[in-house]
Amino acid sequence: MASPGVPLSGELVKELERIPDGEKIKQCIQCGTCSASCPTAYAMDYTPRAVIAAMRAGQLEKVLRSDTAWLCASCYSCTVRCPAGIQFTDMMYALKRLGIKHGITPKDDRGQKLMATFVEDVDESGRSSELWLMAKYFMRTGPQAALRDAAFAFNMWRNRRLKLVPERVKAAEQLKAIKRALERRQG
Amino acid sequence: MNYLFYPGCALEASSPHYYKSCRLSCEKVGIQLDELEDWTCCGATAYVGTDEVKATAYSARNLALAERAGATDLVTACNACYITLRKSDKFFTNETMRHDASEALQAAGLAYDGTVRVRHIAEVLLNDVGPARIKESITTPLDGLKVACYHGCLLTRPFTDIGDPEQPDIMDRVLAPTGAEMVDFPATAKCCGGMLMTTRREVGLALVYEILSCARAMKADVVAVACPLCSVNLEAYQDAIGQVYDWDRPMPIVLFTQLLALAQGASAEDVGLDQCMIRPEFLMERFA
Amino acid sequence: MDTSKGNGHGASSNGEIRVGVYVCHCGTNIAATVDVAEVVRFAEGLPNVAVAKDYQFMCSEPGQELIQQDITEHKLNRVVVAACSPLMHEPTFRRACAEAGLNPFLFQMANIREQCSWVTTDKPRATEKAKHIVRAAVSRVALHAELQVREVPVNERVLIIGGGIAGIEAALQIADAGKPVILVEREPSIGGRMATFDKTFPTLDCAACILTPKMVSAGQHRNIDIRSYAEVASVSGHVGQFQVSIRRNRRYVDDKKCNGCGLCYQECPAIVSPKSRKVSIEGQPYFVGSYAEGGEARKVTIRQGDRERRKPIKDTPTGDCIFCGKCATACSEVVGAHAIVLRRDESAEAGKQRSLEFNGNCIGCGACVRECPTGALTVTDAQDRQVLHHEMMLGPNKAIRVPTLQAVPNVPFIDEETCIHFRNGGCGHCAEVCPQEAISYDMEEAIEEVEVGSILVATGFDTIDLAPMVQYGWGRYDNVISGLEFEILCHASGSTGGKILKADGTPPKSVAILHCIGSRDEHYHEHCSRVCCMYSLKFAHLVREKVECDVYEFYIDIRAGGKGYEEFYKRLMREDVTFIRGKAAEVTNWPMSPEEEGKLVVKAEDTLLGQIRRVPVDMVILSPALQAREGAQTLAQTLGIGCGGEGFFLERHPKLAPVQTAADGVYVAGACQSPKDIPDSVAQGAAAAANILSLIDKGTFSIEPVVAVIDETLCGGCRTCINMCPYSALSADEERNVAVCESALCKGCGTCVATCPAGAIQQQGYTDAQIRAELEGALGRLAASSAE
Ligand SMILES: Cc1cc2nc3c(=O)[nH]c(=O)nc-3n(C[C@H](O)[C@H](O)[C@H](O)COP(=O)(O)OP(=O)(O)OC[C@H]3O[C@@H](n4cnc5c(N)ncnc54)[C@H](O)[C@@H]3O)c2cc1C
Ligand code: SF4
Ligand code: SF4
Ligand code: SF4
Ligand code: SF4
Repeated sequence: MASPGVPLSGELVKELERIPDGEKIKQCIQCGTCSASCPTAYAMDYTPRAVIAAMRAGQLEKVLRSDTAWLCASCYSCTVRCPAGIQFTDMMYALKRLGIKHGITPKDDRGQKLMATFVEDVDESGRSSELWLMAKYFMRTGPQAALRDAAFAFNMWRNRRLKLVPERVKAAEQLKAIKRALERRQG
Repeated sequence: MNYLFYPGCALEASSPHYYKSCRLSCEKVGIQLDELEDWTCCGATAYVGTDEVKATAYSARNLALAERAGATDLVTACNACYITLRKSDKFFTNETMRHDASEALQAAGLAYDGTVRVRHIAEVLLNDVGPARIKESITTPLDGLKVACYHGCLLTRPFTDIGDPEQPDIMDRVLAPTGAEMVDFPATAKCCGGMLMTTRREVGLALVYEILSCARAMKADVVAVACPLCSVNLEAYQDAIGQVYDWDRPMPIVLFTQLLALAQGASAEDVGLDQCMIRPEFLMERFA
Repeated sequence: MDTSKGNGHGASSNGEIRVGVYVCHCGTNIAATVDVAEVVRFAEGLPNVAVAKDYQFMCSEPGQELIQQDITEHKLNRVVVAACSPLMHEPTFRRACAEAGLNPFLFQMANIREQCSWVTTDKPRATEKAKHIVRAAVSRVALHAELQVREVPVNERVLIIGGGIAGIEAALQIADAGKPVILVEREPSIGGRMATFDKTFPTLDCAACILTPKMVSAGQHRNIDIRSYAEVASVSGHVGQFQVSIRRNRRYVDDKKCNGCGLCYQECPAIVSPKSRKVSIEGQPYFVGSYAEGGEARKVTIRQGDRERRKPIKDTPTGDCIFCGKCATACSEVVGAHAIVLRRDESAEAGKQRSLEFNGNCIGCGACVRECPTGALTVTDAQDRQVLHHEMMLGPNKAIRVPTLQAVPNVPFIDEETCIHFRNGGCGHCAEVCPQEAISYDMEEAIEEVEVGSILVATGFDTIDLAPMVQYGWGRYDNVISGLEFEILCHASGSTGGKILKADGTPPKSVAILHCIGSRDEHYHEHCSRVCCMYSLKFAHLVREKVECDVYEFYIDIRAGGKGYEEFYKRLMREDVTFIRGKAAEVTNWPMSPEEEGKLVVKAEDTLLGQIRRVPVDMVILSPALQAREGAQTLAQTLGIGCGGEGFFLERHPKLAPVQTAADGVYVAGACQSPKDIPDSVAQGAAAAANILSLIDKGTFSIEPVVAVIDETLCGGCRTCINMCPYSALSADEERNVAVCESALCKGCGTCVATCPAGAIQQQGYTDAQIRAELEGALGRLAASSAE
């Protein structure tokens, strides 16, 4: 379980410091340009600017429980406009990672699940396959949605735009080696 | 001219017509695309959200392979691949990131020195080939066609060196020599929603509706895209949009290379117009 | 100070060096960290030291007297004070020495405060370091020589570059004191930005009412010579004696002959309208300018702000046209364009014997329209816009014109781009009508050489180019305008007569004012432009005063830190302006709901609510960042002064010498030094005038002897040094084939010393021997006896 608020903020800042220009997060002037540039902010519990305000107030855990980070479509609108040069999109990624790392499930966990499925796929075969990704994802989130998307899949298939047999990377040992090396590092 | 080409999962699986038309239109201007041998998924926008070192290492494997193959440029046709590969490349400028990712690559017997330039095919066509040479390759101009060029978010964001992050005109300038009219398209770099279409359908639909309604307001006949993911998001859900918004006249979505190849003399079939989910019937007739 | 004194103390009669060392406590600033008594004890043991003492405050009167007494009593011929930075008190102690009859350059300061006690809390180590510093000073001072300060006379004449409010204020102050001023202004009239304002914050007094009297006084003052439409081409010489050449641009009107009657611009047929215009007959357009075909070209046009090109008339006219042919005559004979030809065809049926033929020669001057007796021809803007916010001007809109009717000097100039004569050699009307015969089309650029003693730079500011910030829509949407454009729109002599109108000629019902466009932004300017908050508030007031209208201010912070400014902010709140705390992220014309139809939509987060808002309005005013003038860098180089990171001119000291610069005799004032409002610009103008008057009053300028001296016996004449000198102090003496240094220009930077391959240059006060001695003193190990 996550430690509350403040220590986690510290960890976030550390995460961000690894990213090029990530440390600029401290210079936010709370202007709201990011929020108003964000196509999905209207649906977020915390607008992008408010994420930084919440973090400063030691309420990061609340942010991780909200759906904010998972609504980020990573369009970089915020990043290119932020007058303080803050790489806000990277920050959203960092929030996703922190949530996963601390086992915090957001209010709406579909994003987290889709991503986990995607990652498994890539880890497995070195490629991602739309069909199998969707299939697994819907098994995890509820079959009603799958029905809704059956039409989509059919449409794709009909237009010869769906591959039934997923591709695999041939040099599978290379991938495994990369994975192992990193897992070793992370302990 | 030969370029090392990175197709990416989406182009390969869900947009064969894009791949095909890419090759076709490039050939007409003397470019050959050589596919990178045994490439890995770039990680798209999803993997970094889980583990950024791993994400970087995976996609940098491609850069390492390209470097080993002696390529200076690695060209892709997918916005997500373009940005992900470029970000991995950029991460190699950060000490800690480079260290961790290099270690992982080494374990797989690979190394990346940061010498590969990741590029998008649209920008290659614009800057390496240029409108003048494209113009020379045009045989059947697309006069009368009104095109809204949709660049999507990632082509010029966050890396703004190849075009304006707000109103890019890379595609417009590539397609202008075809004789088609490029309509003013304020939504050209708005976001198509990416994965939200799957995880938060209502939000995804709202974003796509905004883009499509802008194209309609600007009186475009077709929307041209330069990314297999944008392409699916814009065309596959128009029915669903119709259930929520005022959207009854579907807008055909084509790949920009399809239009280019058509103008260069290819047929509707050659460029796979029949693989568009919303068929641009008028083009299919005209270039049957 | 009287620095020329010297009583032979340079070395005592027997050549003995006698140093006095004084260690200052600086209250507790030094004494709390450095063991002062210990340092004194240490100093006493150093070679040549005759006496060493410590004292609470060396810079106080008793402190200085202590030194002076010792100079006499102990026959000191060198003095070292270990205290603060030489920037603070070197002049104080030099003066004290001089008063006691010691050449002031036989003094050396040892900095044991900024460089020692302030940077650590470790007392033993601080004390050690203080000893090293003192020893360095003692060992160098022994090698000091008597140096003499040079005095140069100061020419009374003052050059002021830039005739904005800051330059005008300074000019008037100096001229009123009876000193001659040359005021060089790049534009055809003085007045600067303020001349385009309607009202000024925070008092809302009419800008013209307070500025015009000053402009007129400057124009009429017998001590002020205005050179308008002119620029400074080069500057040489040094403080007190600058040689300046002024380039006078081709105005085509002789300011000595012109009496300002204005006949020329009344008669000139060429109307300034760089946007394409539409000439129509009976409402039918004949030449329509539009963007080039194709999205690509259009976007490029928008991005680069290219002007649309005028297009030729296409058809033949009908309707009210009586085929008198006056238009054709005007076009051929007045304009010389031969774009309209009257055809006569006697064989045609009655009523159709005459026709007009339009060809591609039209240059869009509109002369034909003026000549047409029936009004069959009209000229409108091609875009069906009545108000061209980006193109509005205050004065007459002709090729020959004055910038405003209050222009000083009231002498027109010809704008070559619009003038028909300069486009095709035709017309020549103005020269014909001018009763003074003041106009000549073959006037050449003139260079004028003047000598002045001091220079004031007051070139003001530019605002940032808004075209690259595509998201705000300037240049893309008609009703998105910049702050400076709004000022002209609001101005009583603007083309709308001060009415606030949208491009279609109707008043707006809602207006948004966007703060911080390009300011406080890493992508553009990091600085706060300081005046935008206030002028944005002023705009809100002006809009609400003139039209019934909702006004929204989108701001990050309201910075209202001047006298009466916060009160002005409060007032605007009472005036029902809506304040939204959030920087606008974009402006779009693309509606997402019925109420947004036909409007501009401003997107911002209301950060106080945490809500994203889309506010539909009729007009958007952008408050662009203030930035340095284009060409500031070049001017800085010409004058030997510096520019800061943001491009504004660098003052000598941000707090203590705000109007002086690194170059003696060159001063700065107003918004060219940093963004400033009018009160501050005027204050700086006056301050600079006071500085300059005090220099003139003194009559001479003392030049520090810390300069390069060239040993001509060693100089091989290679000239390596000449190009290296950043202050242009070195030149070649061709005859003797040696380099010479003009000590009035030399700043003692030492670059040449390091450059000279022959080692022929030494810097007085910093000779190689002195520096070596200082290093040895600083680096050497301390004697065991005192090191403990
Ligand atoms: C939209 C707007 C509204 C404003 N409203 C107010 C207000 O209401 N109240 C207020 O107090 N302040 C206001 N200000 C600030 C005000 O404009 C400045 O304080 C003032 O103009 C500074 O005066 P200046 O003389 O330093 O510079 P300027 O007014 O810029 O004058 C400089 C002069 O130097 C000339 N020049 C430039 N370069 C050269 C050269 N190389 N050679 C010769 N001449 C040169 C220029 O042509 C110009 O005439 C406003 C600013 C803006 C942008
Ligand atoms: S745009 Fe940048 S400075 Fe403004 S609120 Fe967002 S993160 Fe902070
Ligand atoms: S990157 Fe994410 S947070 Fe930033 S604007 Fe796009 S969706 Fe919003
Ligand atoms: S010569 Fe030029 S300035 Fe003079 S009247 Fe003719 S157009 Fe106007
Ligand atoms: S130039 Fe001649 S016509 Fe024009 S204002 Fe001067 S005197 Fe009058």
